[in-house]
Amino acid sequence: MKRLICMRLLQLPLVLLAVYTLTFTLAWLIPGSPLEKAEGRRPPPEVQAAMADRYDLDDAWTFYWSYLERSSGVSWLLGEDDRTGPIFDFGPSLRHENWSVNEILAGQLPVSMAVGLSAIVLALVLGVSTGIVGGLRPGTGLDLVTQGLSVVGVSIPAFVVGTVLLLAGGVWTGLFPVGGWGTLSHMVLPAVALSLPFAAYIARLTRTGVIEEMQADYVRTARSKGLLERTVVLRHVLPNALLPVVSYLGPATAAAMTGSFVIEKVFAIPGLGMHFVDAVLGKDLTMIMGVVLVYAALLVLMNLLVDVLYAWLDPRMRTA
Amino acid sequence: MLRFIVVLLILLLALVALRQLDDPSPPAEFVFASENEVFTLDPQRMSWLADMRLGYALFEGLTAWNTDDFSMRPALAESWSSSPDGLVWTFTLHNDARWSNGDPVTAHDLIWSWQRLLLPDTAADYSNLLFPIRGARDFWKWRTESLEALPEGDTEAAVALADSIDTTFTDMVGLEAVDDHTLRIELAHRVPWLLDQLAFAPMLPVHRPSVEGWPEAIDTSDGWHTVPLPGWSQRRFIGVDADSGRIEQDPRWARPGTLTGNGPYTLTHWRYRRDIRLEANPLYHAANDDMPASVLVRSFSDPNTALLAFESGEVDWLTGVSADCRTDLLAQQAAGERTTVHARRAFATDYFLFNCRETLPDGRVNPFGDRRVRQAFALATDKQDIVDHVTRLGEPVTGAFTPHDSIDGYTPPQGLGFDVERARGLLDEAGWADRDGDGLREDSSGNAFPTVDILYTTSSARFRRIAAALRDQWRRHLGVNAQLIGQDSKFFGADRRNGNFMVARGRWYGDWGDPTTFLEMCYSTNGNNDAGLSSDAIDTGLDIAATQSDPAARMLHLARTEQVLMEHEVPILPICQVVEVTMYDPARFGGMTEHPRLVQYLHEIRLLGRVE
Repeated sequence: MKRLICMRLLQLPLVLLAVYTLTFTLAWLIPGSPLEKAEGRRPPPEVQAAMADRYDLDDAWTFYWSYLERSSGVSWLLGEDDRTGPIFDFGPSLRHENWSVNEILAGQLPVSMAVGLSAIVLALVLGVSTGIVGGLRPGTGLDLVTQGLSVVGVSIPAFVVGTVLLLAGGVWTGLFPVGGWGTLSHMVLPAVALSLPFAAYIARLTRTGVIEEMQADYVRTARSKGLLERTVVLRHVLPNALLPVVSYLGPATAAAMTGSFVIEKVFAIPGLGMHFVDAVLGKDLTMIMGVVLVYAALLVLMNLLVDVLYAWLDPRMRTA
Repeated sequence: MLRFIVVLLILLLALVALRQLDDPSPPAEFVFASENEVFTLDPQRMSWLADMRLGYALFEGLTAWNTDDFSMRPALAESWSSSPDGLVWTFTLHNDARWSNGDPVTAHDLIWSWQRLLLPDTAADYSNLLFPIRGARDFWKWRTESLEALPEGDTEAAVALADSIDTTFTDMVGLEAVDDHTLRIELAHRVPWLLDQLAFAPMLPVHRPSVEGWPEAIDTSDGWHTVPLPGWSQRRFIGVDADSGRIEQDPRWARPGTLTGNGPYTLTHWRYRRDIRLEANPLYHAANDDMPASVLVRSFSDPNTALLAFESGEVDWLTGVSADCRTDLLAQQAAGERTTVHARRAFATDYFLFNCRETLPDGRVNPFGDRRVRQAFALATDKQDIVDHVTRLGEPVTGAFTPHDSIDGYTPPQGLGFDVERARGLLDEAGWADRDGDGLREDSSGNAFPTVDILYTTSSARFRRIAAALRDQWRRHLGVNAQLIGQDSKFFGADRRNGNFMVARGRWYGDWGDPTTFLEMCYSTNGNNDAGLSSDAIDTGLDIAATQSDPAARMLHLARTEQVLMEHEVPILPICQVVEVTMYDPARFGGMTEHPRLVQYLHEIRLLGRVE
């Protein structure tokens, strides 16, 4: 176990370097300059040149290395700038110049994480319960209904669900605020909207797992011991049936927490997903790199966490 | 099972922990929603309308507009006078004008702010606004050239050069603080719209100690110009870059806590892409009790959500409604079912640009290099049909680039109307005729008219629809094939700037109250001349206008120049004046401007239903 954790943590910088290089190459290929407006009056060419020089935008190689030094913490370790800045310094946002990327990440990531986490919790509760109900009585009417719901959950686009929720929960009933952020009630609608596709997928995983495990030999043994059906399901079937859910949970949580573009846009949530897309469209290089690096680190750590959890839940995995 | 519950509990706890990081926005008297993000609150760096709206709330310039007719009125300056030749202007500042930290606002503040605007180091979009001031161009040149001449890495020389900026500026440029409250401006040539330009956001004064981040210990209560400048290392937001010698400014001064303004409001809250909160500035010299005491700017990037927020009463004013259903909203307003939807003509024109170069970057011959072809395509465009059936906001169609009824004393030309016969004749004349009877045009050697690429941005369905209408009309009226090329804004911008297009869409907003704010785009050497037009008639026309002293004669001359531009040269196919849809309840809020310039001073908004 310890070896696994150590190996993964040692791999992390290499993974990040690869991600950094690839993202940088792609982002650099976007035409135009982040400092330039798509349309409207352009500043004099001298001004554009001066700005490009200031942010190293005139030379890919310089940008690559100087940004790598600052974002990886090497600059900080070497004591440049007297260590007044953050350890991992992602620089100023090129398009929102009054803000640094670190500040933006610090402000937006918790928002995305809060919405994402609550969506995952909701999805787990919804998905696992409907999955069990369907899996225990496969082929019955109840199973069909839950399966139908999960298909609906996966297939309705988030912006439709979001807008309907806003209309119903915000405008018509006035129960929840329309968009924005700041209180618990701001979180309810987006969390529900975001959870639906995850819930649907978890429901299907659970259902399949339950059906499979119910036919296993140990279930017959457990039943023949005279155990209650409830005990059989909760004690013996579920822990095994839910293993696929746990392995899905890692990437799902990472995906939900790093922000959903559509959900954040529809609910006017100041999360990361939307601004990442905007950063790409506007070629905000520092912002793109900062967000991608944080995402990548988060994803690696989430997967590690899931592996650890997995070993804890399933003794068979521990020796591996 | 217990383990699963533990996992679930951990997730829940993490959730609760994250919730602690957040705090709700306090309520405000007036809440408005902006679909356009605020990019910066540093006046000299502003170029977006949404930024400028807040700029006018946080800072006050020498002059301001009367927002009903956009005539000029005193603001920071209580009065002014000019010499008979119009070259020397003297402004008297309000005695009791104060920065929000209590420092007096002096003529030195204006001079330093404009020096900052002009300085190449600031990289301001609008630095050339100051070029008409005597010596300003020379100062720009001096700074640029001395930076280039600087030996790389010589920190001492760089600092010495930076230290000499203030005195060089005073010596070179025709700006003088006669005393603390008297500012004299000497112009190199007449600028008929000077007073208008002085009200424009990039010209707003900023507070030097705040912008540079001076130590708090320095007492600037008699004005920063009365104390010695602190050393570079003591200034928190500014420094000299050893490599380039440039002054590097940290734009983060323009945030709550450090931003010091002289406007009707102060900045109390700014959370990135979430909300901005302003509160009435008690030190503002013209403070009044009628304006909203607090203003909240909420950010919505989805137009439909912004609309829903307005419908639910959470937002009092939607600055620009871009949701697709806005045509229906306008219809409901017209039918009397609503009172909150307002269509406003803006100081902007939606247009398509013809590439006037003879060849395209890939070597293909560009048929639009021939002005007869450009004229023909403009004449074959039924704009009324586009406005009635495609855009449906009741926009006034136009043949001119400068919007009608927007500039006092200026009547834009008629331009080219819809005349299919003439259009066909012009194409025939240019050598493009249907020679084989297939309904499509060929040149004399039988080569078909190239497929016309119509470039547009995919950011809004509006532009795709207009482009599609043009394609159909040109096919029907001229017998020419066209194809739509939708692009993301960065790719579009690059192609348009590099002349890699035949026809490209555009929208141009005027900045100051003079036709040159539109027409200068077509000057051959202008940096925004994406059409690649190079016309002596236009260049000399604009040059002559710059020297004319009689305002009425100048306007007539400009109108004639625009007529040549729009009827003869035709680099631009104007479609319509832009109409912006805005929403507020006129029974609850007054003081909203209806003038096309669309500058809304927040402190002029009146809360009508307020209980005293």
